[in-house]
Amino acid sequence: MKRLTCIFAIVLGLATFTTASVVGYSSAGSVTAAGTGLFETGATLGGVALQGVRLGTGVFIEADGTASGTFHAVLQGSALGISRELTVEGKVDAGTVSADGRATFSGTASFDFGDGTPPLPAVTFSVIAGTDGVVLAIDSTTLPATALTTGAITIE
Amino acid sequence: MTTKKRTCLVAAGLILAAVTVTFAAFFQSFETDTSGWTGATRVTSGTHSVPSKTGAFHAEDQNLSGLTYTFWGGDSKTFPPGGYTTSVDIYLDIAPPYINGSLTGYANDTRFDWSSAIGTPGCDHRRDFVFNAGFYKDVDTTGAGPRFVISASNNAGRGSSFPKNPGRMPYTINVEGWYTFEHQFRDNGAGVLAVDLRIKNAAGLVLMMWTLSDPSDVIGSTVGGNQYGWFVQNEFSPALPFDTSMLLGFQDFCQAPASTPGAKVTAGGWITVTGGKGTFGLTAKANASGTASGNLTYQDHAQNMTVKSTAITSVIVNGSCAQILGTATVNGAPGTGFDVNVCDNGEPGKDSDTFSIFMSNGYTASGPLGGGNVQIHK
Repeated sequence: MKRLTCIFAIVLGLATFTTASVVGYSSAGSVTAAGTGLFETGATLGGVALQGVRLGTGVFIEADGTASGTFHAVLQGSALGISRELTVEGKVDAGTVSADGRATFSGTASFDFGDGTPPLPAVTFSVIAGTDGVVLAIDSTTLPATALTTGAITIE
Repeated sequence: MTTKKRTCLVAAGLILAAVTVTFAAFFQSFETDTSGWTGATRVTSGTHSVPSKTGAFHAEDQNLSGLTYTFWGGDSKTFPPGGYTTSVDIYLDIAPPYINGSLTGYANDTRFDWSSAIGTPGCDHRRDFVFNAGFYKDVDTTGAGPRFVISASNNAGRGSSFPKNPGRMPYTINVEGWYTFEHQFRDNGAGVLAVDLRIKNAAGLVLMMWTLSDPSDVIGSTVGGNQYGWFVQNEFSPALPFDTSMLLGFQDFCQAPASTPGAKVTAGGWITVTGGKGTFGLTAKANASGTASGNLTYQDHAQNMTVKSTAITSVIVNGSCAQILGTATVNGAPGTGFDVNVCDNGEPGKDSDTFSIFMSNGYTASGPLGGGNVQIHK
């Protein structure tokens, strides 16, 4: 129950941030992350029930809204009772940092469904990051928030 | 240090890490330059009929005045857990044709002294540990005919040391060639510094070892980190050849190495570590005046260990590789130094780019990326 409450709080916080970013707040900063997180129960993507995520990210965000760096995420889940790992290898090209310390960034990624098929080479993605977790959107699908369980996300 | 040398350093470090789980904090084999050394003259293999120990170049000490030395990339404040090791390869010219053009060699009792010194926690000099070497062709208990006789002490120079000193276990070498002169600085088990001085042949076989220790050299109190490596004395004219020099171990520099102005490095991904994965995120840069900033987060999932930087002190970009130095918390506990090296070897980064981390607590991990990417923006 505590985890659900936490995730709910994250989603509310991120939603607030998203609203703020839409009105144009932009500041230079960086996002540095290594850790693991858990998805809200019921998260699915392409028929895969998602449980967790493993992150490795380094992104610089400029004041003009451009950004550079890497977003690497392995989404861990299962389909038909078989474990699957979906891999996002993202190249970041835009971003903002909000006054409340959250950041959003986006770019294009290769996306590997982990089912043996070739990775999709140029999928758009975006991430809303807080020090307590991330919300990842892949193509047109926004996944439920993940709450950081180990490691750290640093936003400056 | 220069780009090529740092690249070399990183490559050597990765190789060494894979083989010995040790990281070469300093590596110079003179293949591209002599950076990190003062007084070293870079020469091609075959100069004075001496083949380089490794590669196509080595160095010579030609100044004969005790002005050839290195600080191994910089002197350090703290004695690292596990200690550290310095080494240099020196060519012992024993048989004709001699480097000086003579058929009879050098004058009897021609000497060189090679010292690796340690400092105090305040970065002052503490003590030298010296190989005292001499060329001899006389006859006595150390042998007969052309040979080197070597011993070890804490002193250098003719007035304070003597290679044949019977109280210093003099060792005789009769075969010309490259020899590795190694200093291993370690804790004797009671918190006191002990230094093992070893001579190895070109195959790496230990021929002789001396151990020097003084009870007043208390690690963390009177003893800090590395200082110089120095040819304190060299009477071999016109040159004493030497090659591959390195320091293995963590260095927390007395003065942070200068960052590359405008450097900008990002990285994220994972490497394989013992028992699992190590994931990392890195943002590091230096402004136009060379002030470094950024963040590192590293997580060893097998050890449940999270490293989170508290300061980035140096960002040094050399071609496709970069070195990032700083301090960090480990699972929340402050005060651990780190030395991260990354290489951007193309796109995608998986199986191509590399990441290595070496920490003052002795932790080390390195390897090609299992996923993710490294980008050297400048």
